[in-house]
Amino acid sequence: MKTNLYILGAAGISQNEPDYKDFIQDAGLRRRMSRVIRMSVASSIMAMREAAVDKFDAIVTGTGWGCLADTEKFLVSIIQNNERLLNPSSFIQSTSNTVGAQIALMLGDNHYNNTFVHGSSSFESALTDAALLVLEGKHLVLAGGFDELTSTKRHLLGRMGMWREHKGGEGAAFFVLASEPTSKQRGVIKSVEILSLNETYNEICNKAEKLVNGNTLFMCGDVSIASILNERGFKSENYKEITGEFPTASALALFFATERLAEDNEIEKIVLVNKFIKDSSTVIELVR
Amino acid sequence: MANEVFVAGLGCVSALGFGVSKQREALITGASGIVPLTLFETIHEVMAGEVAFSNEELRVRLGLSEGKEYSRTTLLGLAAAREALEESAIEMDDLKIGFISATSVGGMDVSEIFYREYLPDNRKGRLRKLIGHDCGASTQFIYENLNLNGFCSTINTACSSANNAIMMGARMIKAGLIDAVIAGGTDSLCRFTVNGFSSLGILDGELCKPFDSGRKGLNLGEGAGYLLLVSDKVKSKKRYCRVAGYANANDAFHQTASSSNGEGAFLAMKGAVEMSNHLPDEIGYINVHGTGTQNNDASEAVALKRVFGENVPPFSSTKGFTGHTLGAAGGVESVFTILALDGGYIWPNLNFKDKMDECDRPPQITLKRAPQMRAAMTNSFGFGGNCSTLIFDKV
Repeated sequence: MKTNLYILGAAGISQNEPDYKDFIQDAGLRRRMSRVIRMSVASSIMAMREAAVDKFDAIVTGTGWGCLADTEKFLVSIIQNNERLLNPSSFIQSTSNTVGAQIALMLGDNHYNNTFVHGSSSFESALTDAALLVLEGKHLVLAGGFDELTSTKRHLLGRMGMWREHKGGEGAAFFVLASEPTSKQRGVIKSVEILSLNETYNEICNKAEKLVNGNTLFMCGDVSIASILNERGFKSENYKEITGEFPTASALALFFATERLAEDNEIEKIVLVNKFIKDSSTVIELVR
Repeated sequence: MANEVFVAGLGCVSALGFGVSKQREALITGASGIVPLTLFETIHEVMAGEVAFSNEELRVRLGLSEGKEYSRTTLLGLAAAREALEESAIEMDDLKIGFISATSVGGMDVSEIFYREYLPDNRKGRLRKLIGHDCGASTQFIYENLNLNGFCSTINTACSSANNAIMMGARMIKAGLIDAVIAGGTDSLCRFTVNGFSSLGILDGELCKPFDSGRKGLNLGEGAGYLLLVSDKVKSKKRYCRVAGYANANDAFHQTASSSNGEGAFLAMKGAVEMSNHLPDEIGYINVHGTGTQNNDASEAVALKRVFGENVPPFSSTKGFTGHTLGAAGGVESVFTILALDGGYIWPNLNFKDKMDECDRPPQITLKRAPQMRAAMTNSFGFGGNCSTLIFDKV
């Protein structure tokens, strides 16, 4: 859908994790949080600090794999302990909305809180929700995407043959989105689209091509899409070389795209085109 | 933004049976579907709201091809979503129809079987059992099976998921992004949730007693419930009601426990009532979340009092019929709420004996006719303080 979401703050965490003490002071809380929760909460705080905003009308998140480590931990404990004397902590933290809930708890935020769990369009679903909220008159939305690649997930995807052509990835990225422009925004999301699962590479590229306007860079989440757009004479890169493959890689890529806009004054627009294995492709349009 | 949203079709599968008419029948006769759990082996002695069909029976009923792995969540979801779509008899050709589904366990029932083989030897376990694990997998399968073409997504905010899916669907129609949407949720019983709620110590080993002072916990259930929502321009066989109000709010108190002042529930109900432009006393029936746990029911009762004062409308929890269907609860109970509004009924709250301190008004305990009812409300609250309320108006 078409929109105008002004990015007042953004942050992402992937391979290089920060010292979480700077973000989550309570040592007990830090220890109880699984890695994906820590990555997500810390990146949301970084984005909020940059924007100097900590009051929101809504918090929306997306995750393709969910809180895997806690899910697995509880599942293993059921089997190993033969269902006896189980610790509920990992069960409690296994639901996908744990991240959005933890952030709300931390901020004491009583507003709208929603979590989308639809493969590689989870983050784009959350952005669609953000765009709707702004259309409905809301002003500030915290939006994020996150996934963790546990060793079990890595092993299972390996057995499925995933690493023959792709490299694994994980990460969290959060954005402070506003309905109105300010002097210090990182960029503006002009549209977010989730394409039909059946679209061919050429059809995806045709749609992406229509968004070219001025000096446009394509940041692609698929090597074939990047090369087709290159062949058609457009500047395009495959960001999965950096992020690796995971369902919400497009959230991390959107953070990188805002960094690119800041570094390179020539670029007027970045179109993010993502495609995750056997899943829908998505397009996010970002301008200055 | 002015588009009105109407409910043009209902679909439901639960412990009360397969299809909406079975739900209505059981609600009228007061026949609970909760039985001792038989679906899988567990050391816990639990009562559960099982759908009385095996996966294979469901597959055959749905006409799905043999030899593929279908999670129970997918099978239950397809049955209910297809019913909602078919009942409406809308002409699909020129419409953009979306699917927004909620689930909290996804294909966990099948993943559990895989994991038992995988854990002792990581070369074992059939990979195709994992195809349905991710929450989005059941949604995508149903979307394709029904030949839909609009927005498709999945929501997981635990036990409030389906109300949030219905709310998202209504908002997308209002914004003109789609003409119609099947919205609701599906969840199946599995060891993961039985053990999860057992480890929290909030399962009642006997029949759950929502809003009773002697309540001991919840019974789990399974099922699926969907509404077919349409914009004003879509022609359908019937229009049950209008989606008049909705709100989602966060309790921001604790990851699982509800606050003693019911802040999240209060804000969700208040927001939905304000949006509907109703005076509080115009709400004719509330299908409360009412899980039967000490904490939920106390918190919800306080919130009801804060919204409605001394005039809390007639209300009941229908979890004594179906058990708590988790991510599907909002879908199943929205169907029940609309059946109440449509038929002029207030459903009984089963297993109730004694009033609890937090609640001056007892729930409705026998079936009551309420032909004058103009508006009805339903609550769903989930882990992470996620509270969501919907209001439906007669048209």
